[in-house]
Amino acid sequence: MGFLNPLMLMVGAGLVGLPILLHLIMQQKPREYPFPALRFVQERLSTNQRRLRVRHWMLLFLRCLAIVLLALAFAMPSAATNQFGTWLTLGLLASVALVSLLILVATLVLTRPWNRILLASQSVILTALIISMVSVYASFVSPSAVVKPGMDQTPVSAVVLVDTSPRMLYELAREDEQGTVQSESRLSQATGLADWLIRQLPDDSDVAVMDASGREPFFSVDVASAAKRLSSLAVNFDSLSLVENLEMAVEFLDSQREENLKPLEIYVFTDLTRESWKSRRQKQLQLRLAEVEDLSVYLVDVSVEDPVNYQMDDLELSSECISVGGQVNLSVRVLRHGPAGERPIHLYLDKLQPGKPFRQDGKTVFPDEKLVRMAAVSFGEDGVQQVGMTVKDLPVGIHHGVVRLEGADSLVLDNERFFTIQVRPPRPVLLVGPENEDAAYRNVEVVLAPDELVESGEAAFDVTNRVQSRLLDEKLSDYSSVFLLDPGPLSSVEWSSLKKFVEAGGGLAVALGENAKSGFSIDSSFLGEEAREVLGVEIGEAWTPPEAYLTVSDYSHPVFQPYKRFETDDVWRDFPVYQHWGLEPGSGTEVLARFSTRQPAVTSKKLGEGTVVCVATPLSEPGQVKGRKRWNDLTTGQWWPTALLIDEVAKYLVAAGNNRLNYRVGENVILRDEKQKTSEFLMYPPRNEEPSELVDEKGELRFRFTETVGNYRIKGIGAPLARKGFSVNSPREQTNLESVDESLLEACLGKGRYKLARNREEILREQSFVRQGKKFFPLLITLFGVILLMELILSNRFYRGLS
Amino acid sequence: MTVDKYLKPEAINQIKRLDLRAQFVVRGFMQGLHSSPYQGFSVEFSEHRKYTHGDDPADIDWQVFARTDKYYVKKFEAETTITGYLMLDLSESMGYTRRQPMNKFDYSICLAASLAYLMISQQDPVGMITFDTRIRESVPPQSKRSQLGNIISLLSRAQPTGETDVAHSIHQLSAMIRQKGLVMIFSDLLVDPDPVMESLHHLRHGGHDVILFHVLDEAEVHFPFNGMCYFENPETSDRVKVDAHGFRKDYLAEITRFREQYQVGCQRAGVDYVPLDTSMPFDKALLEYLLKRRVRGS
Repeated sequence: MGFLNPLMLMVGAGLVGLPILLHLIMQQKPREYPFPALRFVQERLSTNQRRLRVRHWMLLFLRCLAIVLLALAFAMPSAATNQFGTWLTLGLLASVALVSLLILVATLVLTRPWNRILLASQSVILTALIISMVSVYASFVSPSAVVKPGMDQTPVSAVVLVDTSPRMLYELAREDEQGTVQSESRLSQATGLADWLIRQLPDDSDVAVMDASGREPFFSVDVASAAKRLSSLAVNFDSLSLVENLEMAVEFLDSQREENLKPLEIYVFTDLTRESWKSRRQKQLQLRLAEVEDLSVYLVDVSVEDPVNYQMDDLELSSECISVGGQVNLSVRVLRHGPAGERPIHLYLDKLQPGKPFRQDGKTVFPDEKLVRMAAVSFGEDGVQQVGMTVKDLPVGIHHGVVRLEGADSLVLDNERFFTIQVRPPRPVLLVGPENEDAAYRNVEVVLAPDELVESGEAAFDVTNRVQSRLLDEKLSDYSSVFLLDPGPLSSVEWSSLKKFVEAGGGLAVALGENAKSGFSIDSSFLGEEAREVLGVEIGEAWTPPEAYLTVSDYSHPVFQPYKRFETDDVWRDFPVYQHWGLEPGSGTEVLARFSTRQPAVTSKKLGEGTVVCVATPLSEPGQVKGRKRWNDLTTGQWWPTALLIDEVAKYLVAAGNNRLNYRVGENVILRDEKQKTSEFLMYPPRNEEPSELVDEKGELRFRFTETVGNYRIKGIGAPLARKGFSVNSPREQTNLESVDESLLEACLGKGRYKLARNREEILREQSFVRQGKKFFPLLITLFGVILLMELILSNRFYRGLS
Repeated sequence: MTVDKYLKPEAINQIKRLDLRAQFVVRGFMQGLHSSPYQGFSVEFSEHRKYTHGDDPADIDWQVFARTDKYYVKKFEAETTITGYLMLDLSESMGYTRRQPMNKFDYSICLAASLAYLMISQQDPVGMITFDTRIRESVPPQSKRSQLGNIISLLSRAQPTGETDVAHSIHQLSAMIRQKGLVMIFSDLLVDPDPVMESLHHLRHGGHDVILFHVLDEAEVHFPFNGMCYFENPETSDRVKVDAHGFRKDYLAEITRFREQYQVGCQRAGVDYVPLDTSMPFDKALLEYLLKRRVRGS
């Protein structure tokens, strides 16, 4: 609780002495009357005198109380809104305690002998009331939640957080003062309001303008620079939830508390969509806000009632990398929020214009778009339509395109989805298996080149099978990678040939198994210098654990990255390994996965320009084995983890592993591809941004700042035909306009922990409400009136007839 | 113009001459008694007598019935004579009034003069005694017309001053008068009741009839004060401070108890006790006398 005019309390304390003084030294002179029948008066005088004294005291008490109440009222006390009830309770308890005290005193003065029961009961009640008051004060009154009335003009430390999620691009037609209809986005309305807000904050206030990007807030030098920052705010496609941003704002303000003792305020300009407030950290924010009690949170609502929108869901591609002659099926769900309507959907692809893109006059000249497919889609009210399109007959290379829902819409951002497709010839892969074991490479072949994809020309690999004895007959340089499936002893010539192949940039995968045995241990041909150099490991004894399984050591490695979404080794538990070779990794050899026995299972090594992957147990174990013990069950049952592993190893070996071309905003882009003629590239982001230079490092192009949606085109420096590229889309949730409900807001911020305002007037009203707290003035002045009335009645009764 | 308005103290106060006051009071009283149903009644009317079997019911005085709840018939000529003694208290407290036109003393004088006038007009001998701590002055009873002048002369001289000793004065009177008569005492009796009652017994023992007119000021009966007051006894100069409003209830209880004490005491002693206050009309006192006169005469 605080006081606007604390001086009034002192004045009141001075004035309250006045009736006491009057009572003591300036008592009203009684009128004198001769009265012969005085003896009858004297008979009853003593009782009357006591009563008279009590009445005097009551009158004195009421007058003092009236002055106290008046002084208190003009001292303008107010309490934080959430503390108001507590203070009222305290006031009520204090009043009852006062009445109880009066009864106690009156009992002491008036009753002779003392009424012990009354005295005892009043004492107990009084004690109980005092204890309750103390406990209520101690438990519920927070010293930090001090409201200083008049804080309207006290400088504050404020964070202005503007939601810059793509949803804020929602536009609403509005008539301005001149009567012209203009479209205004939520963001522009929010920044407009925020600009007004920071200008009306008290002088010397500290203001930090935050967007939803999750960047650390900082105080602007002055209001002008804060306003400038506001005007430069743009939509973040990679925005964080407001919950995380708010948490940062709270931390920031709390950390500034020691430097300045200004009141803390956060203004959140939000369209109050559910998506803005979805977060795993809701509870943490709520707890943090509960800790920082004196921080005021204002939500400024810039939402639109019943938003109308066409929304395109995430684009699904049947494949983003196809072989020549293959086709890509695009599928997208389109949702209508609002009344029925019809919209054309067009699919555009970049024209093959070798010179483009390029920069001219500070602008990027992009390749022209070519309309490839079109469809008209009708929507019912709040309807959903699935749209499918096919792209085929594309030449080798990178192809950028966009699926666009044409026509006007309030939120245009989700009316287009970008995509990038790579078309390339199938990679030649040589599968080398043991003699007379068809099954050995059958498993692998099924994974790398499924029959149906081979027929449709979409298979990524062109697989050739050879038995090990004919390895030397093959010209290895014709292949991009070689798989040695359960190889038998290899001659020194064969090792040399493999080494040469790998060093020249080829990929080699070796899955060791039964055939490598010589007696009970490894064949000596695997222990030679060249073998060790090629494999990157020293092979020890064969292990026969009871039931081991694979555990991934490095999920960030391209081979195991697809498994990351499972975040568990449980996927491997159904595929036990009974035997494996003990591998001792040499220098420069990475262990990608281990067995549950902690023994290395999958290793990788760079050798020259190429890569070698070594697996300690076969990947081609047939369903039935005769005359020996099974090595593993990796290829039995629903063996998708192993199939994925084979596919990923094959892609990794040809540096085309996770060559994802279509990303969501905020994701890190890693492009792997065959070696190009240049290692330096220029990337042209969408929307006319400055191109940035990318350098090929170990066959990878990395790019982190995927904050804008669109097609990112990459062109080799000095080698314009070396093309790469990728596309970035915003996830569909980002444009979900569903409104947040109160329960979610309360879950994030805490009940009653925030103030909601929609316009300037409401902001000012809520500000004054919070800054000044809830005022006691009306209550006190009413009480004063009541006490004054009581005093009047009593004194009238008392001194009736005097006038 | 009716003269019965002169039964009210505020009206009679406008008449300065005491003899005229007495005359007006008595005439007013008589006119009241001879209201319209009793045409033909005249000033020769002498007294009332209790209604007995055989009396003409038309002679019943209904006004008396209304006042006393008893049946009386009017008698029109004196049958007996009775010697009256009017005894007036001169204590200082008798000179008190808060807001009435007449103080207790004036009221008592007026009442005494009226009674004297009435008695003389009925040829009853009447005497006058004034007292404070003892008997101060007296006029022996006579029924001559000039007696009224003597009495009024005495009353005109009388002043309420000093203390009083009612009991002693009554004892003195008892010793003084030999002829049995009707003693009418006018006093506020603001003294200890027991000695007074004792003296009244003494008087009764002498065979006298006694009417005790207990005259109090209207303020002493109704206590019309409010607020903080200092009350001072003019006789003793005692002072007390009182919250009058809050005290009224207690006071009224006390004064009622005081009057009841006399009422009961007088009843036992066979004394007629007539509580009066200065706001009351005079006829109550006069009627009381007439009733007593009738009983005495019959």
